[in-house]
Amino acid sequence: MAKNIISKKKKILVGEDDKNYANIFRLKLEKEGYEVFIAGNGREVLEIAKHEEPQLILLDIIMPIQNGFDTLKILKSDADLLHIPVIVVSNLGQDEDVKKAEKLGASDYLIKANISIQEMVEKVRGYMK
Amino acid sequence: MQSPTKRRFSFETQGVRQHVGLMTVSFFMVFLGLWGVSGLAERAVYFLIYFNPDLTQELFSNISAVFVFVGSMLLTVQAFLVIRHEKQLTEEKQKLDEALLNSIGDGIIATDEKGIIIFMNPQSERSFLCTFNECRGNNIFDFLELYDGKERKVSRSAHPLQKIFLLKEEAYPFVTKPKEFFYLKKEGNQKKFPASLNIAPVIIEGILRGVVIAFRDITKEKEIDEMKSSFITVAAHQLRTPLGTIRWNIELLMEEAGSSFSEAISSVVQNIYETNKRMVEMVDDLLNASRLEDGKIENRPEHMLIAPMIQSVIQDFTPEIQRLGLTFSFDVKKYMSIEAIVDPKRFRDVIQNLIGNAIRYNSMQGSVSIDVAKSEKDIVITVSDTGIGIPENEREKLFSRFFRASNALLHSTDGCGLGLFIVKSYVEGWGGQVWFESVEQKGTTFHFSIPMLT
Repeated sequence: MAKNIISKKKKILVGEDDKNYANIFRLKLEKEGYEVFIAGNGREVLEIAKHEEPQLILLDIIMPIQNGFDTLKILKSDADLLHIPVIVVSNLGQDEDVKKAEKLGASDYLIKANISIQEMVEKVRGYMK
Repeated sequence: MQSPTKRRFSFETQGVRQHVGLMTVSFFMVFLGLWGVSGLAERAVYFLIYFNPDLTQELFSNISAVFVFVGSMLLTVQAFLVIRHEKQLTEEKQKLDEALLNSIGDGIIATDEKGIIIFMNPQSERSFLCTFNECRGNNIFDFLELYDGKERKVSRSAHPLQKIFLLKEEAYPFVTKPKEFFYLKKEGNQKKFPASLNIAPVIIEGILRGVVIAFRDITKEKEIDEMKSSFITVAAHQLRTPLGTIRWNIELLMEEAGSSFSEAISSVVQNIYETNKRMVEMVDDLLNASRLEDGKIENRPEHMLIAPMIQSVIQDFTPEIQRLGLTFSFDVKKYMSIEAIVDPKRFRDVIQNLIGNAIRYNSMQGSVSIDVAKSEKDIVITVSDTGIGIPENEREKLFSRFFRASNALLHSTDGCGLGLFIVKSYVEGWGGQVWFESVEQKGTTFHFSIPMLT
């Protein structure tokens, strides 16, 4: 993972195991002028979050090794990380999933298949102000 | 049920025939005996003495007495046989009844008019892990713990048995509805099991004599149902992932290269985009319908302005509206201040389904109009189209799952018949109503209401 310590760009960490989605997130968000870090599983999310201290985390739920819910729980119980807003961006969208994410401290919940890429970007902008 | 009755009937007739034969012989002998001492017999006796002078009249009298005696004895034997036969019949009937009750796969418990257990079949012994001898004499309310579908204990006052005992001779059977079930547990047992119930009063000559509880353990059915639900949930999630990436990829493509596309390519890409969106909607509908069935959809009402939401749904349909050349009328400003207390997600699904249908089943260059009327009691939203209408004889089935009207099928093959089922479930779920008027080839108007909550 490329590190860019001197960069003044705002950082976004995306926890996404699907290569297709990961590519789109990178393409779109880099175009918006953010520095994008992609993590393929929950454990990587935690590692990169500690290292890079991003302004925002986009988090998928169904991921290998450590799923999004468990990752969210750890993020929100870590004093150094709990201030970083987390938007859950998943295709899991049952009431109980949304509730669970809210309870664990997610700032927002987006269902990928039900929003346009533009809506996703606007949501991100709102948190990066 | 037919054959045991028949067999019992033929067995009885055979017995009766035997008795009739024996009785005829006995009566004949008694009659002969009496005849022997009567004057009428004398002539016959003299006639016999003429041929056999050794025989005296006295002897004949004795013979008559013997006849009377033997005849009476035979009648006694006969009475004894009748009684024995009756007993056999009763025993046979009892065995048959017992065998019938024992071979029923459902659990059966019977109580007397006070609720004291007087019968349990082997299936109920197996279900409650106890023998009838251990349980007889127990009060059914103490013995059988009843929990509703959400595993909350049913209080004595709400107990279906209580109703029967209170109503007495006017009591009627309590039967669980389809999809409804209770959890049963024997007092002191660890495990409860899901069961469908049928509780019937036993009324003899207008007096309540007890109740019969029949139950069926539906553990297996519930397991299969849960497997089905989880399959749909997993399938829907797995389908959403590729559908979602297609959507975002097309959006990126349009954004990056859209301006260099020819009109023809633009419309091809637009087609792919719309079809993909429809697929996402169908997957969502399938998921919602399955969850509605399981009673897992929650209603989370909140204060919301409905006009902007309707406007945003119309916006989503812009490409389709343009393609079909439809005229849309919705005065967003007029209704801007109307606030409802409703679950925004459910409201969006309802309005999206109704507007989607109004567009999809409209005629070219047709129109759609949306109105909102607010009263003290409720808010009524009306969606009218100038489309194909709903055939008169299919209107009853319109809100059923997977139902699509015959003209809708001809008009468009796309759609899975879940939209209106979801609409009705949601609207009724928040305490409103949904209704419609329709004229074939002219159009349909749907109304739904949201009650005003204070």
